[in-house]
Amino acid sequence: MAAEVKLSHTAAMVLKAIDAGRVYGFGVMEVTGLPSGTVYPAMRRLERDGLIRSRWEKQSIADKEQRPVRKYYALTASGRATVEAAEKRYPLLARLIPAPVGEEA
Amino acid sequence: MTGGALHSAILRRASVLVPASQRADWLAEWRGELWHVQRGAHGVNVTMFCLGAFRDAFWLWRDGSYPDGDWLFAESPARCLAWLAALGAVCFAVSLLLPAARTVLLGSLYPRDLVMLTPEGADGAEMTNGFIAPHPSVSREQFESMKAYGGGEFSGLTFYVPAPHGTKGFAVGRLRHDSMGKSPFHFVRLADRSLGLLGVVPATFLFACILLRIMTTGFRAGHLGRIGPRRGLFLGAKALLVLTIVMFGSLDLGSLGGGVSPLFLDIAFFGSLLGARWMVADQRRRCPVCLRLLVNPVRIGETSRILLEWHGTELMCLRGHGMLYVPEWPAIWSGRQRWMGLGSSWGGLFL
Repeated sequence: MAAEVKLSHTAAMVLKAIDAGRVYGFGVMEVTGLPSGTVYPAMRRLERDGLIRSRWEKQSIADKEQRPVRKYYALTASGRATVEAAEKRYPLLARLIPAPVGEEA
Repeated sequence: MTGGALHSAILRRASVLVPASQRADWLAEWRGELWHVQRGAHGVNVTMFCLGAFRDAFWLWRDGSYPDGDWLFAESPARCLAWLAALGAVCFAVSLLLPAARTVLLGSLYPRDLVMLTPEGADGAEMTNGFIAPHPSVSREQFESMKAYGGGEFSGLTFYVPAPHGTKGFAVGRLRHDSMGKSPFHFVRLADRSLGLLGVVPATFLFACILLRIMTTGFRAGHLGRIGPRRGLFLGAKALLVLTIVMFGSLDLGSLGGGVSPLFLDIAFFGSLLGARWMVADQRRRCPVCLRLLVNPVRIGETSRILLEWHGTELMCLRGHGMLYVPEWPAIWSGRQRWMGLGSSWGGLFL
């Protein structure tokens, strides 16, 4: 992981959205309301900084559903720690981004 | 062109910016996302979604091309000044290579008292934009007349005919005194230095700065208004170097045709305007603490929601000194860019 991670409020929102189960770029756009030109570069940067990692879904799944394959994102351990730090710093973050289904309680 | 073809074309155009090694993956990801955007009832403007690919591609291009994001974009103040100094040195070196520009800088090789005489009414030796533009304009009869009338005023008066069978030439001699009495012909000093011509450029640059100050809020806007000694020194050094570039750069461009063109002053004026504008814009995009360029611009909010939330671009200092908010659509409460300094308590976010 990079020695120094620069996390703006927008990046924190994107990170929180991924933490909340929005594993695709478009899903992050939906939940944050940010445009594609903001979300995708932010995700590239988070991935470069080692806070998230990406993976292609299996071709067979996409073929079965007759659609192109998608790339999905998941938090790394560093990313999870950063989300927790960001939630302390931005108390409204948890309200802006709903928690993953099944974790509300 | 159908919507699908248009969107596909946008993605293909944007992919040109992506480094070749990542292009296929990048395009596959965007196409995969586009498929879902097109089929979902999300109320998302598909074209706008695709246009966002350009920002993403540009980010990859910049990040991929310059991993430290530093050397080309002169993020550090020292590097910025080094780039400007190097450019100024190049402009100066080019000035020394161009004969007309060299004459302006170093002056003539002729002695101070060497003059060229022309008959009254002839335009053969008029000064053009501070420079002698000689044309053979003296006939042999006129030269004889000059010798008769001006023999006491000049020594070594000589007649030169540039073409073998030419009828007109140049009358050149050395002036005995500093001034000459009433005579039917004029003379110009061949050794006239034209450094005074360059002296116009600092005045032009100052005028451009004042003009910029009057016509825009550039100098006052945002955190630029709080100029500390370090910021002031940096701005001053930058202004000096930009002035040097404008001075020698406009001299180079004005001297490309052999002599110094009258366009020199026009080039200097527009160069001054551009230079001053860049200087202010660059200063506004620097962290007031470490003077490094602010990076990672992120667009926040939407114009249609300006009454509900802030709308503009957020930039941050790589060293965590703070963030700059630049409003895209000035409102009463956010007309100017705003700097938010981050104290040491924010250190947790800058791991």
